[in-house]
Amino acid sequence: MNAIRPVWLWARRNWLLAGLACLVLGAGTIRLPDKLYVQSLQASLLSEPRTDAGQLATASRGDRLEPIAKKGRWYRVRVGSIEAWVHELLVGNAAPMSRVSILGDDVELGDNARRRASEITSAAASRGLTEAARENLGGTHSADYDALSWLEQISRQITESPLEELEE
Amino acid sequence: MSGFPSASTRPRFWILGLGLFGLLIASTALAGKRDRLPALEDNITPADVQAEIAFGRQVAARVLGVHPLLRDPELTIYVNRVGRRLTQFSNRPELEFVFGVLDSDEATALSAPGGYVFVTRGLIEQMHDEAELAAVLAHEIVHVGARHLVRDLEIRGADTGGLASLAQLVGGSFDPLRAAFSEVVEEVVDVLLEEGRPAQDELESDAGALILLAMAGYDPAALSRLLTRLEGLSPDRTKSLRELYPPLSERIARLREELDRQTPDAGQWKTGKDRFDEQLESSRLRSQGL
Repeated sequence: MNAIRPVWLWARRNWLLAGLACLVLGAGTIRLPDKLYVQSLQASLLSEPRTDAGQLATASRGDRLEPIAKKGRWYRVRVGSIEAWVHELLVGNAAPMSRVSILGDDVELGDNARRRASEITSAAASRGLTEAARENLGGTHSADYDALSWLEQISRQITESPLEELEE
Repeated sequence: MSGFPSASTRPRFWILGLGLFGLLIASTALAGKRDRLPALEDNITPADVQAEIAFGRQVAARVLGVHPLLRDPELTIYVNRVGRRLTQFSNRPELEFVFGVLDSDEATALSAPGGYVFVTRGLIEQMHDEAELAAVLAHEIVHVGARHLVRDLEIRGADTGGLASLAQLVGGSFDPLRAAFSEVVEEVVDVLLEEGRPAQDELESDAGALILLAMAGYDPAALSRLLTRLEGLSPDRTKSLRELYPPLSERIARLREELDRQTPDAGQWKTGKDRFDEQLESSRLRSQGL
């Protein structure tokens, strides 16, 4: 049997090659999402799948793009009459979520329904997400909530601003 | 035995054919799975995001318990401004990123889920310009955006069923659940400070950082430039960088390959050097580039 097996395989090399070709083709087949949504504030739609390619158009957060191909980390998309490339880091398969916060005054949720802070606080409290509960978890690493609060306050002083040009 | 299949070998042919067909289906499915985007793969809900932030906040507080925060308001605002410029291109618009400076001589950076990003004073002192600061922040933003740690731990919000969700773990009424949550927090702090993330995640974040830099107008070569400089720094100031990350030489080589692919025509990128130098001088930090 030891001598027969290689001969049998050799005789069926065409079938094996065809099978391997199917595998390679299968592995190369990317199942594209139906739609892509821009997640970043702005997304450049480029003529080539590289960052220094010419910019054909700019899409904004929430814009819907139709993916038609993928190369590496880049999607080829159709928007209106334009076909262009966009990087996968800038898009997602669902409409972008509004800002979610466990600290904020108001919290916007995915369906754009705005809930009052008190509702969120109650919901959080009911799940035990109170500051006291969070600060008494124990464990081997000590925590510095005072420093964290200082940092969060500083960070929140910065209001969202539109894209500024980088001055040199 | 070398001719067309005999009656006795035909069944084997069909088995082979069926096997190949199965593999074809499996490989197609796997290819599809690889292509899934963060928002696609987990169908993230606002409750998941809240859990992610609450969890990350616990991790961040413990990081600050080990490495003290540098309470320099001007420098912190500056680092946050650079970070905000980058997060405008992030795929996680629902997160409010917070950027802080750790008062440590060691040159390193880390991030907790939910958007807490830290860079050390020791690393800032090795930087020559704003693009290099942006490069480090961008690497961490990609970690957070891709939910690297969260995905590995299967931390989910309240409505997913199955395993105990994060929100359930935080629930204060059951001691075992709180202990379990505390354990997961400690586990992630250990990954960040002692064990390191999977090498694949680090390399993915390097490549993603290059893209974020370019999108924000910064020099995409800034990360490889900074890492090359850090290669020459004494081991005691780069302990985490050498022990918790893939080898610097490998990261630099991959970044250069990626740069060749992504930006063959260099030239129009900004470094923000003047603004960076001005900020460091005002914060009395010793930039090696001054």
